[in-house]
Amino acid sequence: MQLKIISRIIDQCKDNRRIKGSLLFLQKQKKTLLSLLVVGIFEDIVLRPTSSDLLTFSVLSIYIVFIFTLKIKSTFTFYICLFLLAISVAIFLFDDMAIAAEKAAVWLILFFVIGVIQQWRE
Amino acid sequence: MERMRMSKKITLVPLIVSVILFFVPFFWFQFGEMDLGGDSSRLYFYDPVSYLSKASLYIVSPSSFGAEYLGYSNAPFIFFLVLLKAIFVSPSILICIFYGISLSSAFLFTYLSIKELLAAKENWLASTIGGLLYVFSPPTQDGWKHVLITYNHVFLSPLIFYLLLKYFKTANIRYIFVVVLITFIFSPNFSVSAAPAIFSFFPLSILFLIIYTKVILKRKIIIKHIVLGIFLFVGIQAFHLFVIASSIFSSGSDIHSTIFTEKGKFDRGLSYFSAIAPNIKASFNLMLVPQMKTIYFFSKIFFIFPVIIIIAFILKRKKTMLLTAIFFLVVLFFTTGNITNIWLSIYKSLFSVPGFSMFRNFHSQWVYTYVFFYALLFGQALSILIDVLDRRYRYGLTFFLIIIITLSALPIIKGNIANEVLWQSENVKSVLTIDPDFEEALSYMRSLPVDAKVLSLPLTDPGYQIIAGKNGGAYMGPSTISYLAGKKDFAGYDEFLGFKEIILQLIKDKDYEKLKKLLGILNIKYIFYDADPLIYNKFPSFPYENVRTVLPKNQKLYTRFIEELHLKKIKSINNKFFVFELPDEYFSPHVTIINRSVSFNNGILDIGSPLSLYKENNWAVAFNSSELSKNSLLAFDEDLRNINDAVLYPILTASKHTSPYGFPFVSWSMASPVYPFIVIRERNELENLSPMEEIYIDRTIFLAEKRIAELEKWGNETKLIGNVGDIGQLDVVWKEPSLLKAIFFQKYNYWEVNFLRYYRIIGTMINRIEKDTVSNSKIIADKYVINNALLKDKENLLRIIQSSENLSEQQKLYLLKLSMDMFSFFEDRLQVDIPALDNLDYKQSFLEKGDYSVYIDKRFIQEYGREGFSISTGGIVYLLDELTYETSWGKIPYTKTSQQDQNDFTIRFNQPPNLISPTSWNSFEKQTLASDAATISIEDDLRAVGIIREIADWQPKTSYLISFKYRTNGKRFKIVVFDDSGKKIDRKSTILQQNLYSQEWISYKSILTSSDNATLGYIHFLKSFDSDIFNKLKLGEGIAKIEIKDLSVVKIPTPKIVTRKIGQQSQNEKLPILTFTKINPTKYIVNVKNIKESYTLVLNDHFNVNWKLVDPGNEDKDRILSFLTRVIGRIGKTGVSLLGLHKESQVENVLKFFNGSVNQNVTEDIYINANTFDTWGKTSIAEYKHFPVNGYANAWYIEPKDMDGKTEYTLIIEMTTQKLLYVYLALSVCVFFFTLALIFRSIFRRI
Repeated sequence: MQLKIISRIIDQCKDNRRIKGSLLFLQKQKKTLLSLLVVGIFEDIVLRPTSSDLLTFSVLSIYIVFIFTLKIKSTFTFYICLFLLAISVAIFLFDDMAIAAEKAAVWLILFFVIGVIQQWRE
Repeated sequence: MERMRMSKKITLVPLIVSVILFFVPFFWFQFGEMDLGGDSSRLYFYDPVSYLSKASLYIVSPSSFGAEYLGYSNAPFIFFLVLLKAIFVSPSILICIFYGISLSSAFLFTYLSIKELLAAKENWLASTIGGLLYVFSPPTQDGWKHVLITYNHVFLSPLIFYLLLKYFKTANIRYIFVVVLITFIFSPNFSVSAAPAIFSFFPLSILFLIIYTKVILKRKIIIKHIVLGIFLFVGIQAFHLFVIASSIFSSGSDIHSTIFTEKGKFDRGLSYFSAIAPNIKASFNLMLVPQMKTIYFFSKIFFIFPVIIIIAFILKRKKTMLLTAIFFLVVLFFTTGNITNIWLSIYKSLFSVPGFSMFRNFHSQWVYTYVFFYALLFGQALSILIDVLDRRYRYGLTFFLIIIITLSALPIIKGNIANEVLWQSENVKSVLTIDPDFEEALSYMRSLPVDAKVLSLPLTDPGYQIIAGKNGGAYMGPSTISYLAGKKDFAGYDEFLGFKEIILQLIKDKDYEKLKKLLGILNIKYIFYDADPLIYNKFPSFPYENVRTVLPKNQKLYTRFIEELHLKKIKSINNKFFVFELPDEYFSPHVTIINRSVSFNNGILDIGSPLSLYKENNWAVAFNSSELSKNSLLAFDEDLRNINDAVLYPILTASKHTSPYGFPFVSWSMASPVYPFIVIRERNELENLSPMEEIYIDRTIFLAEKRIAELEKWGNETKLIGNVGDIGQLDVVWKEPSLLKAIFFQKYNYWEVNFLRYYRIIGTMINRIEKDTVSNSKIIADKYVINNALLKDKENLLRIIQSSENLSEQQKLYLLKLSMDMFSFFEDRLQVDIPALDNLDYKQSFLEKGDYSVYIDKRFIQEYGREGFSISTGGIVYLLDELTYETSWGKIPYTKTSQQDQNDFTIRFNQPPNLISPTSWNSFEKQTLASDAATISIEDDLRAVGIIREIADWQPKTSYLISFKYRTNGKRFKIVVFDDSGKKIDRKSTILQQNLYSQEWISYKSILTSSDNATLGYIHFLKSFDSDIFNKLKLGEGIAKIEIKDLSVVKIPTPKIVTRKIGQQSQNEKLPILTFTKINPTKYIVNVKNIKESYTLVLNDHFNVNWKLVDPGNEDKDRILSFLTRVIGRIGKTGVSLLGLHKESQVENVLKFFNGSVNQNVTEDIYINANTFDTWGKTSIAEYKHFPVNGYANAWYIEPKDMDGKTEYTLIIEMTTQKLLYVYLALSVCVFFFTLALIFRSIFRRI
């Protein structure tokens, strides 16, 4: 229900000329934006020793906005999951108690949740 | 043709796997070997008939004190085993069959469930691997060690899931009937003891199936089928569900307090959860690696499973798989807990829901459901991958998966997991072959005539019994004497509950006379001793760790210890098993009439007082330590009072207090947008706490300490206001921000605000205590507890400020000053005046008119001697020469008959010895040392050892008052008091550590209690390091110097003084004659003759309000419920007669105690016959005069008017909840046959 409302709001926004322009710009920069997002997550996993819910949910919210605006498919979300799993496994193989492996696993679970909901809606 | 071959393969392969799995356990054991041990044991495999009759049919526990018990929910399952045992005879084979059924069914029904969900014929390979993954997954492998009776859920969950899935797919109600029947046979898995497994699996699984049916299959759900299924389920489980429901909703029961009280929800639940939550890793769960265990490199290959799952989602979109994934994720969140702080916080808040505390050990309780959904999801994912893979790769991948699953399951396949070495033993295996000598001993124990309890030696810590097998293995689990021989047995120290410390103390003191008296009071008549060296000498630690500190170190010394007890040996079996008897003069029969009833104002820990005051053994004491109002309906022969100093005693008690909550664990930063909501929640909690509540102080301090814990965790991210002069001033100007302000402007994220919030919580608490607490002594004690907590908080806060990385030195000084001023303010408010010890008033208030004897502990008199103290009472000073000595007491010839409501009893200590006097200082510092004064000056860091002084005559578990005056000239010093046992293996214990800081001379006083085994005590003054920023707070430069004077350490005298009001001396000739007959553990017929006046009847079983005394000759005509009960009783009587259950109790022998005033008819137990219903709807007597005595037993004060002045009558003592069990068991059996009939009906209808 809430997702429907969000997509309706986005559809209405799309009619606005300025927003339309911005969306067009965002869609053109889709690869850059998504790459930045993934790099940001990678940086959080590998370089930050603590985890912050504020950061996690901000990134996830931005990603959800991207899903609607940039028309990202669930398959892409699962590719991110695969990437996160690869990071987690790579660290886990060398040190099973590493915080980074745990952080990657938490990111993976959260993206998996998004992916499953996304695919259900598709 | 191809299809037919494929179809055969589909059915054959899983079937072969299933058969292989069934036979795997047969290779685990040699013929005759069994693994019977574990927390709940598996003795029901060894002798199901005895287990059923002794431990599964009654509501009273077969062990120790005979408390209320839930084992009756096992009855159908044990009965099922009785039938199987009749077929297979050997318990060894029976165990293997059950293991086999568990393994093969768990696999088969997971396989079938995946197959049904996939709904395609070519998926047998994926389903098989999914099934294997469920059975062999590493996180659940530990469950196969010493499995509990409820472990059947490992195959019941997939089985029931499959049957329900079939029902939802076909709408054939027969599946529901079969499920209902299965739940009856495996009723332990649907009882309260299996609640976590039930609630973690079934609600989610059923929801999954409903959504699957509605959304994916798009089929209708037939509500009437569901309703019928629920009714049949509730009906068939009625025998335990309804009985336990009555316990859940009766306040005071253990289960009620676990579910509903704050202690149950937060102390036992949330705090346990919080302790283990940080250790559970999401990465381990995703890769199916066991938590909190050593990870072998091979196990890491399990990452292949999540890889396959994610790839499947990339390859294909399937709604069933998506639905499974949603449920998989839900369970993953529950089994991991630690996935983001938000989820952790939500999870924690669920603990406020009554009953949720059952998930305190959440990972273990959710992991089976998690692995099941993991297997379902993985099976579906693999099926997608197999579809797209080339044939070669397909078989390669599945072969690889089967290999890694099988290799990881080698401990199960080889049986290592069931054949483990018993924990902390010297290579003793958990598998045993039963020794015929033990069988003979068990049979002898069963035949013992006296209805009494048993003490098993060697005593263990937790209540386990160890029995050596013929093969060198051993059984370690609950007492076989309790569960197979039907004698309530004390096999472990913990089973003695409130008596455990006293028992060890008496053994330590070699006070065997008092020990035997205590065993007699506990209704222990027989002592069973297993002299096998294996069971004691090969277990150097667990399960004897604690008891071995006092009890003999090996079997040789044990034999000597038993000899010293001077018990009568009544049986010796092959010089290995011995049975001894406690002489009758010490023994209190199971049902007895006492000739002396005593009211005592002290707790059970002081049972030593009545034990030494009364020579005979047929007395009973009603303990009243918690100042409960006395029941005016009761009359006691004697009034015993332990008197304490009114001011000193509460402080002494408070000084030993420890908080149950520990130091807080915080999850949220003050800068978080969620934080204001936590503030609101805590504010509400504080407002709802009342000073009258027991937990008020501990909980409030805990919530205040969260402010300190937050600064410790988030201090580096916390801002500074920077211009606050005093927290008191800030209190005037700082108002609680609105929610929006708090969220957007992070109004709580300041050091000073955290100080202020701490200040407000503690300030409010002190105000409320001063205002609402009635008793002055409680106020003193409460203040002492708060003061001690504040001292610790102060040290913590100063440490946090000093170690903060983001604060400048100037900022640290500023915060130090603020916090020091705040704590000084509280120290002034909490002034606790510790009285001098040379003039203590031991006052006894509200003494009734009568004659009194006053007793003083002889050890105390000997310790302080003639010169040490004087005693005065009623204005008369007594000399020690005037005391007469009885056993361990000095008796003052004191009688009082006045009607005054207060009588003074004063002990005056002339000059308590200063324990510092005989010792001298040790120091490497520049110092000036006198006998009770010292000055030390320290110029550099290298010589900051300080000065140390031994405290003479240091004794364990003793309270001391330490006092001195000091001046530190603005520098910070520290006092540390530590002690040790003098043995190298024991560590030193710090029992006091506090900072000293002052410009002027200050008096210091503190009470401390020595450690349990300490014999050497030391006092140590030392300087804080120069790096300590605190030293720069006021004086800056200069030599660190402390001056100490008037140092004194005095042992606090805690004399045991007892006043004994001598009432009308009971006379044996006035006592009635009692004869009791045990019908079964829940029912006793008591015949009383020669009744001349009121008497007290005692049942030596755990006190329970449901034990009632019924007059069988008197129908209760006032209540409709009694009428209905009588009707049900008559129906029951007719039914039982029709079934031919006519067996009457045959008196085999009559045993006499107390010269025939108490007699026991020796009979066999009868579970049910027509007489069972004699008490139904009859009047219970003396209900309001039912009270606990001797710390555990039931007593009824019976007056002649209760039985219309009759001089001879018969009463029945009965556990009334057993009647509920009879009714609901009958209902369950009826529903069982009804369901069976429904199944047959549905089969024949089809035909």
